[in-house]
Amino acid sequence: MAAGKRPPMPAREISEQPLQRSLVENRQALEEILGQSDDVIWRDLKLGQPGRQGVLIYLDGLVNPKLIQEGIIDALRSWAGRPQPGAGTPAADGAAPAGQESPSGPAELAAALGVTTPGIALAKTLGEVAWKVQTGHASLLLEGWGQALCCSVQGWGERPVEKPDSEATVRGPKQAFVENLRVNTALLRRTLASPRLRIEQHYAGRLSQTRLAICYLADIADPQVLAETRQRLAQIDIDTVQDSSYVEELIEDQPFSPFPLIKHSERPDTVAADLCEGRVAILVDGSPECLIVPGLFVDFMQAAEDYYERFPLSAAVRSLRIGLILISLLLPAVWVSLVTFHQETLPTMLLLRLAAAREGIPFSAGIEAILMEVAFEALREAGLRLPKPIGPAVSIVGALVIGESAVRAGLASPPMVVIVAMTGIASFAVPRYAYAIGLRILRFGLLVLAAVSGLFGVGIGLLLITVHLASAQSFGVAYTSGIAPFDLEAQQDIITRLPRWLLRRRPALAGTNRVRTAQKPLTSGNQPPKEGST
Amino acid sequence: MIRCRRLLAGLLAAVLLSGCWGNRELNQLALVLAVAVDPGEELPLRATLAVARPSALPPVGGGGGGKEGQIIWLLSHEGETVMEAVRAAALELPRQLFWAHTKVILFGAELAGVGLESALDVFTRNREIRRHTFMVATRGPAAAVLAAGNPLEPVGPIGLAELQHNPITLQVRLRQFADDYAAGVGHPFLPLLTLGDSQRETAPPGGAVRWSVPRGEGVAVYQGGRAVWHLDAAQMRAMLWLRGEVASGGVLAVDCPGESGRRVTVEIARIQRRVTPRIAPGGELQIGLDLSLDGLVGEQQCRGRLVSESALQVLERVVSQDAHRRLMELVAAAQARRLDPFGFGAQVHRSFPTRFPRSLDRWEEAWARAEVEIRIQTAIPRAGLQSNSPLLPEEEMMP
Repeated sequence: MAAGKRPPMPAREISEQPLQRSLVENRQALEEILGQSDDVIWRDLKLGQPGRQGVLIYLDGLVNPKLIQEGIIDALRSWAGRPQPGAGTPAADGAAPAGQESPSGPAELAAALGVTTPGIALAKTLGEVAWKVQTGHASLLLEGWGQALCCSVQGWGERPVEKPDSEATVRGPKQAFVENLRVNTALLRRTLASPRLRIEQHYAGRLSQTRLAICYLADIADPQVLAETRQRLAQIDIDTVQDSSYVEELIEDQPFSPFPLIKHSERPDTVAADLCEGRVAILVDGSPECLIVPGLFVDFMQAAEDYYERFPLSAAVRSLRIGLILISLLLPAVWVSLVTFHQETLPTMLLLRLAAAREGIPFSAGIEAILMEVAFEALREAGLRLPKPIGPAVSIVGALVIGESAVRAGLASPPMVVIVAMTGIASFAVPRYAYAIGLRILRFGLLVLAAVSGLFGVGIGLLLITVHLASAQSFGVAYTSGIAPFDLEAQQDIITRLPRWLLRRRPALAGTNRVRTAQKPLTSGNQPPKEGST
Repeated sequence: MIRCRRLLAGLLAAVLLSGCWGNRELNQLALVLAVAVDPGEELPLRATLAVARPSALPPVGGGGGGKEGQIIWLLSHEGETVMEAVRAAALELPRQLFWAHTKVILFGAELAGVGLESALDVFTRNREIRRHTFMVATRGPAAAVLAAGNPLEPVGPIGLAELQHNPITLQVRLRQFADDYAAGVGHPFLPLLTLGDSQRETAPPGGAVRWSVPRGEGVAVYQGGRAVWHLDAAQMRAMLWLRGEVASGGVLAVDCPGESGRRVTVEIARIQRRVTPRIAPGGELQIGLDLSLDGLVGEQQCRGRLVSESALQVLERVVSQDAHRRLMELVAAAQARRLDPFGFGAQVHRSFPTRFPRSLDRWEEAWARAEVEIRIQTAIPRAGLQSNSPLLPEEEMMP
């Protein structure tokens, strides 16, 4: 973290009152601000031969005690033992004329005091001091100073970097973001070691003072998207931000859209790849999910695995996935339409089997499908919320028992159970969970339309979805870009994925700097010259 | 906002006013899988509906077991018209009749007395019946053919339809029959089914089960709504070639070249036909028919080898001659009866629309006097997997 320039923090809850020269006054004022919390440590210090009073304020548990001991207290003690430095150093400048600020910066101060912590900053108001203490700094106040030296000595318990949970791959990097913003930016830097990678810090949350980081690649990120992102983040007004989803809901274009208009990922490699495509990432402290803007409709089909497996498999799996996405959205609706409205379209033998299966079922096919879908969603939701060891058991038992006994009890027909199960499986094949949720909601809408007016209703539903998709924008970029407006070049990575050496240029979002590769495949006529062969 | 509301109102109207409320649950439908039309005893027509009973369908892979009884329920009623007879049947049905899965429409031969037109119209007018429904004529009552099962097909009417898929029978679908009927320059025809009971299936504890199954027996050619000419199976095959319709599987047995009494059977794989009508300077109609047959040796009783190019060429010539003779016989018979089920009339009408307008009488006249010239090119490129004759002595076998 750069110690110098810092965007103004949201100051609504923070006192703007400047620090006084009197330590006692400052201490009283700070005790009022910080209150009687037991984890606030007020470490009194006595420095130098004349016995100058000082206090070191920090939060127990948020700081690394070793750093406090070695970087601050030991340093101060040895400084106190030394003869007083010459005039001009603020520590010796106890009798400086009133109203005159110390001329020295934090670096000089730290050097003079011998403080060796990694980060140092000067705070000039009570609010700043309080805020620094809250974020894991140790603030040093001395009698006669009009300012406080804030040393970053953060150290708290953290989850280590683990494998991605919701975006697992068989092949490819297996690191996921964690809750710590700094670790996350570091993970991003590790995958993209380019000085172009810029990380801009912002704050959101009046109470939580959550740090946000806008990450982008200079000269590659779309400047309009970047400006829009900055502006929207600056507009956030909320008390706390617990997760990146808070930010997502506050800055997305269409809050009522069933489709996520902001992509998110827990994989540093995915985020890095998106940055290279000209997008902008927003990391939120405390959230292992990184937001990526603009979100695009094609994100539906792209899984991280697509880019780590070789081309033939990736291309085939991508196409399969599109089929499964359609199944997940449409299968129950189309099925109900065919069975209740368009019986003439089914093969005779199939129709006879279906009729045999539906013999004696008390509900109409539409009601039956809705009931079974609701049961399936209930099972899924129950399995999700239960503790890990119980979840799968409940799901399996529930599915078996409910499916089997519903058929035996004559409440549902076996073909409908098959349809619902297939739809469920297909919806799990959608690579991003948030998109799958959108599909599930729309599936129910289409199912109702199908039950009311058959394929005609399904057609109207699809029309409405298409209208919505085509008109949606994410951060000023058309949501369906690549498909509508059509971009021939973008087709390389939508319905299928071309071989890596054919993905020559990055998407149009990446402005003018778009060369991805100029390499040609190493086919037999195109081998590099061997050593020693002329 | 107003635009949005208008759009919503429009869509709502589209859903609610479109008349698409007609949802029918599967178990509210009575699937009519086939219908047979016969002359009635008291009233002019008798319609027999084969309605599916899905609950009687045998379950796949055992377990449970369908309800007792036949899969097909036959309802037979009489009426002044087919519609009336069907309505009479509907009085017994708790479910709505559904015609979109009707596979076959059967017409009894005795219907000739009533005329086919009176029974045909209801099917071409119905919006549920598919235009590709098969049409067949039956020798004897159509209801009996419909009632007869088939040991292979659990659902009888589906078996009847599958029988029509056989490449060596003439397929006639509702669309084609109605078109032929309306064309006015040719004669419609229907494949003829009859109830044969020569099939046996041996049952394990001794004794044989007799199956009475419908079998293809030729073609019935219609003139003025009546079946006036019955072609047998061999004539039907020749008719298929004349119409250029054989897909594959037709066979032709001819004498072995140079060996009388022994036969070689050629399987016809493909037929292409080109009809070229001409009007001679004297004003007579000449119809040129170029046929190219592709075949392969299916079976041989001859001693000679049929592998060499020259031997196959001889065989090709023999096949051409034999086919020519059969076709000319059929054409002569048709001309003598003034019947044209071969589609020549439509072809001539297309070539000379003013000279031969859509008038069946005039076409019958012209057809009877037309000169038909048939040229056949046969190609038998292969003799099959076996190159030797089974009758050859061992030492003469080719390696």
